[in-house]
Amino acid sequence: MSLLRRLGAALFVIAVLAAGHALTTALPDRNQQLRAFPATGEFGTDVTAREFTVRVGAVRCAAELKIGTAILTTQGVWIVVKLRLTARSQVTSIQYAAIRDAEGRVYEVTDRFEQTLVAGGRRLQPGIAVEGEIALEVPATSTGTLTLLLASTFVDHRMDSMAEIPLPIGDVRAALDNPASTEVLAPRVAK
Amino acid sequence: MLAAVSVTGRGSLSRRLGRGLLDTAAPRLRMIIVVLALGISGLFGGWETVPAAPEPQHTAGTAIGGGPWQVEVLEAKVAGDMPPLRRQDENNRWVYVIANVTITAHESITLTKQILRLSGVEGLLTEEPYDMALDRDKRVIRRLHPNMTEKVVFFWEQDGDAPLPTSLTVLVQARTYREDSLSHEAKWMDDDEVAGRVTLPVIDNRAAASPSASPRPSASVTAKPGASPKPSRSPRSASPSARATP
Repeated sequence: MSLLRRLGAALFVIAVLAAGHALTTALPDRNQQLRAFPATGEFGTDVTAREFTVRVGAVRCAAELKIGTAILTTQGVWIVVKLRLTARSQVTSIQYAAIRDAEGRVYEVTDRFEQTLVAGGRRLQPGIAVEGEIALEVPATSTGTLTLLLASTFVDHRMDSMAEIPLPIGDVRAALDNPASTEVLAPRVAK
Repeated sequence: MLAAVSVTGRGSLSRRLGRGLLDTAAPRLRMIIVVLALGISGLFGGWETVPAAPEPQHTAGTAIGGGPWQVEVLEAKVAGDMPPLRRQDENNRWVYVIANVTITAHESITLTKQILRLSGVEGLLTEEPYDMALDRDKRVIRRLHPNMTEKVVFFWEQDGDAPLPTSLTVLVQARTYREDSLSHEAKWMDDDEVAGRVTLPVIDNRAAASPSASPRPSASVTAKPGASPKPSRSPRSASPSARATP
């Protein structure tokens, strides 16, 4: 076997390895392959996920929350989102709510007070709409589109649907100019 | 000849390949292969500088990165009764550590009780903190959010018969973002590593009589949702968390 032929064989093996490496890095990784299916919709319209339908009716920013007699401050900004939720065909509950910012950071709903509407505590019956508000904290430096994420799964969202609704929020810092606290609507059956 | 061949035959195959590629090749080809191997290794990061091992011992106030979180341990104290936290025995005491915590991961972290451990304290009833609270409003919490630094108080219950600690060492736990060998998903994994240690004097705060002495988690109001209906433009209040008493 000539030297040139051996060198060619070696280069061929290297090329195959490089192509394999490029292919494995170019393909979606395991997390991407198993990610939740986005059920994307617009603010103010019904968005249908696998187990539930959600409509975002209002959104506002605040510097403080008034929960009962307690005032909850934040080092960022409170985002208060009004939801209308309906189970589709069987009893379910919403166990995950978060806001994703433009840089991909995900801020889950706060656990500083009880939020049964999206913490699994409120059971949704098929066909009976429940409305209420949820509150989340985001940094005051958040810019760009903030997207609400909702799922009926608590931690493991793999291969399930997740509602994704962009929120019509401009500058979240504007809320800091108004120090008045805001209340959060508790869950109730929608009229 | 047979004795030199493995049962599986792999030894024979590898030997043939080795001979074919290297043993019978000219010295110049070997050199080319070595240079190519080093070059390819460089393409895949083989020439990158290995980061220096982190210094395990730190002073109070130093930022210690533990993967998904960064912690600045500030001070350690001991107290008696701290409602609404409940001790298993009235003679027991609370050992608590105050720290600034920043979530550096790209999403909120809920298992924040796993951030700190204590060393050098006898008689702790649990290895991980019994509870944790925001210093901001003394509310018990579990979840912290990215890039939103909070001063957090971590509580451990200590047996009242154990000696009162005069100093303790806080261990900042570490997580590694890597592929799970079972699911092949990339996630923050607990490899039982310590990102850093901080040794602190323990301040005895048992004599503090003021109920507003910080840190002291306040009992959360537990008004039920819908208990006080209001006009439609003034929504009913949601109920605050009452998780201080598990």
